[in-house]
Amino acid sequence: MSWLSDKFSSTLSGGPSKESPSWQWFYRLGSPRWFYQRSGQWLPWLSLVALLVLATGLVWGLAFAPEDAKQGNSFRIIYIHVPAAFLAQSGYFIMAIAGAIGLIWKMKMSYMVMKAAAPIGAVLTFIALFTGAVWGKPTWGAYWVWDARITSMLILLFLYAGVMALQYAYHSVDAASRASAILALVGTVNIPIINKSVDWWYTLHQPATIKLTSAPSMHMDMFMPLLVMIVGFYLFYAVALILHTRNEILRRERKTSWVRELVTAKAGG
Amino acid sequence: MYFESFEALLNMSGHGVYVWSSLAVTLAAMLWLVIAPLFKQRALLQEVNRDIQRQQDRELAAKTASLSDSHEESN
Amino acid sequence: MHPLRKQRLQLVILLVVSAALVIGLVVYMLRENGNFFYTPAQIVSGEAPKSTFLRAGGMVVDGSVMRSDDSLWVQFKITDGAEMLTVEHTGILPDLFAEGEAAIASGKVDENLVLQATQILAKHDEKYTPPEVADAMNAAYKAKQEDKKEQGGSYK
Repeated sequence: MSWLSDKFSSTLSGGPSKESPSWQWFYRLGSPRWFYQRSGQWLPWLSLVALLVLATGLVWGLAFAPEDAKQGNSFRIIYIHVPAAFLAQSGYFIMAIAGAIGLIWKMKMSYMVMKAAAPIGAVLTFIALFTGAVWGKPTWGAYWVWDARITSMLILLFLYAGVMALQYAYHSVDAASRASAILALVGTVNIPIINKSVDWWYTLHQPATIKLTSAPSMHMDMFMPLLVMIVGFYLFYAVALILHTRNEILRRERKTSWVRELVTAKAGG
Repeated sequence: MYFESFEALLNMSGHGVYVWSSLAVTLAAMLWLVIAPLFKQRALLQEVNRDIQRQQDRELAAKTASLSDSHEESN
Repeated sequence: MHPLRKQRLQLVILLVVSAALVIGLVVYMLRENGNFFYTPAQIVSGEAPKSTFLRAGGMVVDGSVMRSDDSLWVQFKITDGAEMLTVEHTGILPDLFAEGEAAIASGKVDENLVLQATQILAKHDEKYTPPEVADAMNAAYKAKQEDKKEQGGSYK
């Protein structure tokens, strides 16, 4: 019977399966130890690239791009507002997908990513709301308007806060992860509402400038720095997500031998 | 540069307050997202280190206790 | 109480509170946008209530904007295509406020059917263009219009 128990223990531990080499990356990614070590190697480079891209986009957008004919220079807030709003929504998808993978494959790593994504998404949503308010005052004439786009973004902030709160509502890590994942998945209905709100309801907020199906309704000199900023925000998001996930790994695996070896190796070296 | 001078860039024909305050809050929030986990990581690693130290101390204490026990027995 | 039940109770309370919050926000949003919103025609015909807070939206009529020399007072007309409503406001107008553009005025209608607005909002579209490009486009548009006029004249 020993062959049977061997087989079971190897599948239960989520170790690399010898039978299907094409799935090895998936199992490896599911290993907190592998992720921690690899991400430690990538982080400095990724951070450097993110910093360079963000700096380029900011200087280009704020100092070199032409002003808007109607709004003047206040339009430059777009270079922060739109990328933050973009990532607030993409980040929600990342969180919900991580939650779904956790629920389906019971992958610990996936739940850690989900937990790490919540505060980052919340901060990005806050940035989008804040810069939107500051932009709204000179252009629309009000900091805050109760319209569909802004209200659904506020609901997104509460969804992120809800996922964070559920993490602390349970003593058991498993129960907390499951509850958060379910809330994250249910909350995804809000994302198409945010996207479509400007078309479905009468709102002050302008329709999307960047569309997948057609050319952007923006002059190229203004659009290029915006594109750079969006790429920069994606890179920044990756850096922040990796940092927060690494901490979650340390918190949950602090009793394991590999974390202990890591600490003693560092103290020795 | 689109602006004629550094002052014009700061002022942005009256819109500078809005643009620069947005940027300041955004950068502060983004820095916090990166710096807070770095401090947290240091605290977590120190906690693990303390756990290891405590365990080593306990093992050492147990060893010396057993050593002195055997010493007493031999006497 | 049993700790597990306490936990479940907390969860239920959290869900109920957050659901109430979301529904409350959506209802508030719809009320803000719907109930108080009137077209210029509804106000001019006297259909809209007087001296209660309401909103009116429409296009700012070309050449209707009058400003005071010594204060921030401004008067203009908005139209929904059917009727024109006079709006008066004292304060800084948003950057996007312009003749021929959409605006929303909120305030109270007085006896003379003039909307005394406490807030003027301007709507903007998703297009962004540098000033020189916009000028060039306007010039091209005007030239085209004049071409059309000339052609129209020759047909007559």
